Amino acid sequence: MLIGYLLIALWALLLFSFRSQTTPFISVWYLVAALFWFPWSFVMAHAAHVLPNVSGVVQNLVAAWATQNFQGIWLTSIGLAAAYYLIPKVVNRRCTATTSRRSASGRSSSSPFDWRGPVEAAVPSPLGSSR
Amino acid sequence: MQIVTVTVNLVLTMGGNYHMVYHSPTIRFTFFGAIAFTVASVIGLLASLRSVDSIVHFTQFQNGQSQLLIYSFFSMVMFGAIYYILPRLVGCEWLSSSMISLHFWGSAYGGGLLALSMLLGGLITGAAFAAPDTEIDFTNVMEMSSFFIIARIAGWLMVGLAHLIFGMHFLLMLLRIGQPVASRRSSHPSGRRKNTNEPFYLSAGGDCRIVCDLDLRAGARSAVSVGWHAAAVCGRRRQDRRYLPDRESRGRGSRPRGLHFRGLRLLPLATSARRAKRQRPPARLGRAPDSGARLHVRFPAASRQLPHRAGSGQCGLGQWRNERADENPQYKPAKRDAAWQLLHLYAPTTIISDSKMPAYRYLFDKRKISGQRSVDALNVPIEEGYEIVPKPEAKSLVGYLLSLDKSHALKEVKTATPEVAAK
Repeated sequence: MLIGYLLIALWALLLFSFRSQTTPFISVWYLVAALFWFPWSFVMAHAAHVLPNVSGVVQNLVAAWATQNFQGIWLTSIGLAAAYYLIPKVVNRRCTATTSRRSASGRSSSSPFDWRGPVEAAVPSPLGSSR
Repeated sequence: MQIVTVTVNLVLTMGGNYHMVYHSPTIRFTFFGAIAFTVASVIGLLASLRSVDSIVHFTQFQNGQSQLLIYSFFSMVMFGAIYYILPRLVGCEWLSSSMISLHFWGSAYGGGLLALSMLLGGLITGAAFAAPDTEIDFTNVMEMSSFFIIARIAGWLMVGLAHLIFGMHFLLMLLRIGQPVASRRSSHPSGRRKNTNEPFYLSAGGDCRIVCDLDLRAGARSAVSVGWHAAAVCGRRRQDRRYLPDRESRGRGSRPRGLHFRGLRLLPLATSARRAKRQRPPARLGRAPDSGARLHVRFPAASRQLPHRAGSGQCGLGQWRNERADENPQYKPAKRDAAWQLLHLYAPTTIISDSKMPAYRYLFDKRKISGQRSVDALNVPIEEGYEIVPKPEAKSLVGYLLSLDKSHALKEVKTATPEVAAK
């Protein structure tokens, strides 16, 4: 599964690096970010699960982290990419704000880190409901 | 911060174009998704506060937030994408605007109900658990939340129904049952059918009826234009024409099938039901730019019966476009301006001696000349002191006919404008 995904990502990244337009569409930023973040969180979550010394509590933590990543990074990035593509396209105008490119890429690069508060705060409360 | 920028970006992009929500299913779903993203993110923010979390942990609140993000945001945006992509892939428009509406409202209300019931249920049960007087025991709290569970079931039912409708619609598109009219420029030119000269008529609620004999090799564009124009002539309001003219009837009962506009029907003049079944709807014909198109228009006043079969007394405005001399040796190019068209409508045989088109006298008023002769009075011999003046319907019809002479560009959303793509 991961190998299949990597093939997709490879082609997409090749396309991206040989793009004809130097300033990418906002959607493209989101898609490229999603391309990077998804395998990372996927691999990390799986690796953390199969590590021998991972206790039940930490496994829960990892599960919550992976779920959150799946929703907050993968699905959100893809969804926002689609929204950023479709709305200007159908309305037939540019995205208005001049800062949009910066802010959009800012969102995609920082979102993996704002996924939740400090883990220590979450641990005493049941995991997965701390957000 | 990021939520704000995303929301501001998308809302400002929409700015002033909110009417698109009614016209375009893509925008409808996508914009709903964008709003849901904001809501889900704000709720996620609130829930990540420790004070809030201490109440709502262990409850369905978390599920509600996920539901909002995954269904109301992600799925809705993806639905919008499907509504955008699929017509371009299969080369035809969505069949039914009411199915799209049903899907949207089912999804919007169903998803909203789901998220709301989970969030509220989570809040209430969480608050009950967190209450300092711990007399409430677990079973009581569970009974309290049963109402929200029922609401959840209702929400799932609505969502399921909406998806069923959507799935059916999707399947219809894939099987291309009931092809609608507006094939795009990029659609396959190979989709040509044999019976290219099927006559059609447009009907509009019985008020007026336009019979057209479109040679649809000239393109579905003409059929669309006829539909639009019929809508304009018949005084249909703009709001009635949601989602473009993209519907086609499936020949319910004995009614022949044809292309459906909202409130208008473009139907083949099939004489028997069996023939109607065999006939392909015209819009699948594709486009051949060099072919002629003929249009025969009639307005039987308030008549609900089908026009008579093609060939017997077929009316016509003459071959008005791209008629080539090798096809019709009698054809002589004449300057067909507004006056020509009006005169032709009023008395066809004065212009084309062997014309079989009936005269559309009811599109004209005969009235007494008071003072000066009217500017647009027809130059026909009638009794002294009277003049023939076209009604507004006649004028708009002529305006339409004249407009057909130009090869104007098909209006559609530009798919690859450099400036948009270069963003």
